[in-house]
Amino acid sequence: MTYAIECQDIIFKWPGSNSPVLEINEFNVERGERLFLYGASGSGKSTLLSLITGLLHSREGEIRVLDKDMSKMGDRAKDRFRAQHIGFVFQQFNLIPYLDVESNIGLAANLAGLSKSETKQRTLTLLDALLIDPRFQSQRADKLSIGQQQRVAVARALINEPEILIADEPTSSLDEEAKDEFIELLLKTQQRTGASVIFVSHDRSLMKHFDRTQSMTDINRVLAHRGSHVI
Amino acid sequence: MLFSIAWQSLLNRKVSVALTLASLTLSVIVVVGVEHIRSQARASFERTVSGVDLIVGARTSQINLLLYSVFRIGNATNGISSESYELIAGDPRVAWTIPLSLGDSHRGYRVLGTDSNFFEHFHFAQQNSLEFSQGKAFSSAFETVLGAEVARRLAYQLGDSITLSHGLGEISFSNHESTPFTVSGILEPTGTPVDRTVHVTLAGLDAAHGLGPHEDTHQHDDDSGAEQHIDSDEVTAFMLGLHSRMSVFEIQRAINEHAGEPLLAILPGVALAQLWEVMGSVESILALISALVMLASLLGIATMLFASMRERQREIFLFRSVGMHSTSIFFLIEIEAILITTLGIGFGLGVVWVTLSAGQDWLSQEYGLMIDTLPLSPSITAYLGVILIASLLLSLLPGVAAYRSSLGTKLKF
Repeated sequence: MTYAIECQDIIFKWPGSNSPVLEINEFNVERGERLFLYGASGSGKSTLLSLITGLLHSREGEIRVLDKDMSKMGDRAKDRFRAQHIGFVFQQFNLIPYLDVESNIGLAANLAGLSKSETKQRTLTLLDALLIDPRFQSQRADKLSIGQQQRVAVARALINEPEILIADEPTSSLDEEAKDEFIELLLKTQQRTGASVIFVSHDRSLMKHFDRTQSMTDINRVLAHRGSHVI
Repeated sequence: MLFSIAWQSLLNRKVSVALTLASLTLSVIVVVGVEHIRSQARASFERTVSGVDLIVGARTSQINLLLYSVFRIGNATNGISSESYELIAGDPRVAWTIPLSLGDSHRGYRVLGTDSNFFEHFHFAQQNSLEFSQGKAFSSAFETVLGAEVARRLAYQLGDSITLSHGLGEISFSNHESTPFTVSGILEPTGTPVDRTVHVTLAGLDAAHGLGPHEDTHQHDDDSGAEQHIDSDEVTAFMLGLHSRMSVFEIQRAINEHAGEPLLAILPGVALAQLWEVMGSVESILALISALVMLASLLGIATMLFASMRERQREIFLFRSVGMHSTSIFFLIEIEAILITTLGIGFGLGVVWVTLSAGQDWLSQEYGLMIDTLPLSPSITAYLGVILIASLLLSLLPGVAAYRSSLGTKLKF
């Protein structure tokens, strides 16, 4: 099987609501693929990714991640699965502010069951690849610059060598020249493990770095209905 | 791992955590301090008299008799005639008696007229007998033995001469200046009212009251004390010891039904327990107040944790995204509560211990209170356990709030 993520006929409604916020016939991501996913806020990006990562649960449709049926997994299994196979980089506030860099990365490794010595070794390699001085390890996360925090977040996301990396607007808090540099660094580091990347952004100038581009309006049928309704 | 995260998280909120901790520490001081002083006061109270089988006085209430005969508080309304006293003292079942004659004072301290039996037979605490730190018991009528506090406060030495005042005021205009008493002995501190008493002979007391100066002309060859004889026409009360404790109720009934005059005999232990019960309501109020103070602090912990939830939404989300389970987030909050509570208990106990250690000498010298410095009686340990559990229960609120907010998390973009 070459798919990392397969979604079939998903319909998601918030509890107590009759109107779905997400309706997708099909959405797949191949293993090792770098996908650029764009859409305005409210387009269902966050709901889709929450479903894929097991933070939300869909009653209708099938979501398979790394050949595992998410709807058949228990809560604890989902948390464990997320820890081991999915890495996240967010727009900002990626790190627990009061923990140091080492503990922030170590927390993710610990939850995935990675040994201490392996964690130490991988941390050093990742920090080196991401051009972060290893002395920063003992710094509190909130003492770092935004750019440094975003790079530490990439190290945190990749420490367990996950098959899937989800990056949510990770460059929106960086200035223009730092953006391309950050993406290149991210993709170079990702290449070492060959993880699939879902890069979410509304900044289409970043498209050029990715294998494929997907617009939320093309996959979320709720948006199509809503659009026609407004017209 | 959760433990270290909880610790770092608390350190990150130093100011609010420190304030909460200060409030908890104060409450622990109140709870532990009140309970410790209460139990120590009770122990101190119960040690005031021991080894005495019965206390006999004119008919009054048990508590009143106990108060004036043992605690030197209040006054007797009537005395006991020397006929009745000698009759009871002469009973073959009675081993010894200690006459007690009260009513005078010396510079605010009560004067007790008695005889040498007092130093021989009176016991306190666990059958401790009275010891002299200096000198010895009085051997002639115009000698006096001072309690430890009297001697220390008034700076009296052996051989000093003192005069008694009629009545109980600190300043009296009716002084028995013609009959000075010489200090023959000073007692070791006992932590009982004995420390605050001036002990004189019955004969000397009579002389001071103008009943005629008379040296004891009677032959006291028999020091067994089986037969007591006194010259004054009455004593205020007396204590007695029996050859066999088996006969105590029999003697008590006989005295209470004594035909000559209305008398009352009490068992010191029973009367002490009854008196302590009178103070029981004060005890309960103190306990209630300290419980409420504690509850307020524990609510403070829950409030502090609850208030922090809003700013910690992002943190909770991050924990979830890297794979932390919702129950772990619940436990994280509970661990924070336990950490604060444990620290508060530790600090509180520490402060009480240091304070008591520093104040131990002062308390025993000023108030004759002898206390343990380590406040870890079983009842206090139980209280501390209850505090921990209550803190856990109250922190269920913020804990469950954190748990719930982590459940419905979706990725926030």
